[in-house]
Amino acid sequence: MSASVIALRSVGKRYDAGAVVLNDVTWDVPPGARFVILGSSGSGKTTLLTILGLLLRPSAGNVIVENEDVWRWPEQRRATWRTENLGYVWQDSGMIPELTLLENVNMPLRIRGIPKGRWRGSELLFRVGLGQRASAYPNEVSGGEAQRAAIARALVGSPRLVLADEPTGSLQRRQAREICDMFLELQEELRFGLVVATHNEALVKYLDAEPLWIYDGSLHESPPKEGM
Amino acid sequence: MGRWYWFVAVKQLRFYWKQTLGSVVGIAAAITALMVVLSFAQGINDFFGERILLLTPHLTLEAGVNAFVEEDVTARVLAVPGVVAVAPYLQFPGLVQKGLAAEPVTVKAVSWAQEEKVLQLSRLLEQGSWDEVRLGEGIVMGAELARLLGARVGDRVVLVSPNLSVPLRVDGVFYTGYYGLDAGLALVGLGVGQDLLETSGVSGYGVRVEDFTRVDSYIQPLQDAAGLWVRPWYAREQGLFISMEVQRTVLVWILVFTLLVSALGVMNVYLLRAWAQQRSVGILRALGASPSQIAGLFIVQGLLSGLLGGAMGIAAARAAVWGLSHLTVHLPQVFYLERLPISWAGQDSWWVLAAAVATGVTAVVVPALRMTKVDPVEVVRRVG
Repeated sequence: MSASVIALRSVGKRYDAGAVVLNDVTWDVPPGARFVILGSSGSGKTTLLTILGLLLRPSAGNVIVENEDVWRWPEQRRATWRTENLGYVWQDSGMIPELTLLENVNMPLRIRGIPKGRWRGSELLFRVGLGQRASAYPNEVSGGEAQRAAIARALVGSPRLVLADEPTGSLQRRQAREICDMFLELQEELRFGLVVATHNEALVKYLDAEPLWIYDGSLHESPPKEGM
Repeated sequence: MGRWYWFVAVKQLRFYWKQTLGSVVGIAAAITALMVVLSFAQGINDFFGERILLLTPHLTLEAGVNAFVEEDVTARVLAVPGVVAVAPYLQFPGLVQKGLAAEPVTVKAVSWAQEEKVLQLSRLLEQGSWDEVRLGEGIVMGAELARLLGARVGDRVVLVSPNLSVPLRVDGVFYTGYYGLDAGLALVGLGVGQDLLETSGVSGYGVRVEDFTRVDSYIQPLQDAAGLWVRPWYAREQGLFISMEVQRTVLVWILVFTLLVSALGVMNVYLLRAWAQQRSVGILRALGASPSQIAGLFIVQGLLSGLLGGAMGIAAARAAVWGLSHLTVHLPQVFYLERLPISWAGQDSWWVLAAAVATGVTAVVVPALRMTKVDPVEVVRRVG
């Protein structure tokens, strides 16, 4: 297997209030793989994802990228690496309400200063079935459509890894299935790695992904004995 | 990095158009008031300037207090580049009597033919004939003075000087629209004046130049040519112009404070909007925007609001000034005004526009700084 996209070494996270959310997490995220991280509410799924997304600094341990601890990098270098290599999908899509779907999708490229000729927002919106809704605003589309646009936005910068936090949490089962099918289809073609955090075990099957469980502040390859 | 925040700023201004309109109108209202007041100040300045210039030469060459110029400097003064005409005058305090009425005046004795080239007095004659006046045997007085004395053309009055007095026929009545001149100036022929003061000299020379707006540039050359004390026209009414300038400065400062109040209003709008936009800001930060770019996003919105408010305010003020300048007013006759003294202060519009932009930018500094502190993790946790 080739080198990992991101590696966590003995990562821990303690919040100011004193609660220990993560404790001694070590994990190599390989390129192109699919993982579903299962855990109950408050188990640390979102914390793990924001640490993987280089948005949250761990209280202990290291986040390794290109053989270096990213938290020793200057802020700008970290931000640049993040925008060039990672894509995000959140539960409620995280669309910016003032921008159309197409403008939302192209936003990461605008921020990176990519020339307009190389923007792929339209193409990706067609791929996720929203070609006709490109000029609609987020409040004019359904939750499922907004989530598909969020996937297009996560992929527009050709990321190596997509982090999705409860991407189907606000959707009905049929829509959740559609979103997963879309992830699979796009991943087949674009070869990005995918880490999904959810409490919905069905996503393991839908995404044909390797499951990991998060409990007691650590990642495990098997579920807790008492169930989630 | 591309200037993406300009694009997003414009989108946000449009999306929150009601709040944007409120901010822009707030700035525009203050700017309109500022420009209208500046136009009034300009109008009053122009009004007095124009009227004073009707009977005041662009420059005067004087020997000094109680001194007479005996030498004729006309040819030397005319040789100065830009000088169009020159005329001698004799000026002294006097009293005009008609019956039991008497009014103190400044008497100006002029050579009518030469004076006509400097001031074009014939245009100002309200009563009387220029042919009669130019003979230089009678007296010409301001319309207000004539009213105070109850004098008309053809009446006889007595002009009393510090040395002598002489009976004179009223040959003409002039009107400038400036009360100070119309009530306090009487003109006689140069010979009459010299007889009254028993002198063959003159007080000085009045000079007309090609470009009176550059009047200061003629002072030194004229002084070199004539060897006399040179005074520009505005120096004669310095008190008036100083008081107008002081009034203008005070009004401008009052309106600058009005602008500050409108800036506080705009700041409140943006603080509220910043609260609503925390989510968008957090997402932009997660997508790679830096804190300084987030500040830029808000600064651009303030700048555009200021620019738009400034432009709208200036346009509204232009329309208001046009309307006010065409409005007929009925003021007591002493004001000599049929229309409001208002002239478009176009030369001030640039700094006023800059003040509007500064207002918009100042108003968003606090919200912008607050937004740079939005933690993307917190926003991500909320939307996740």
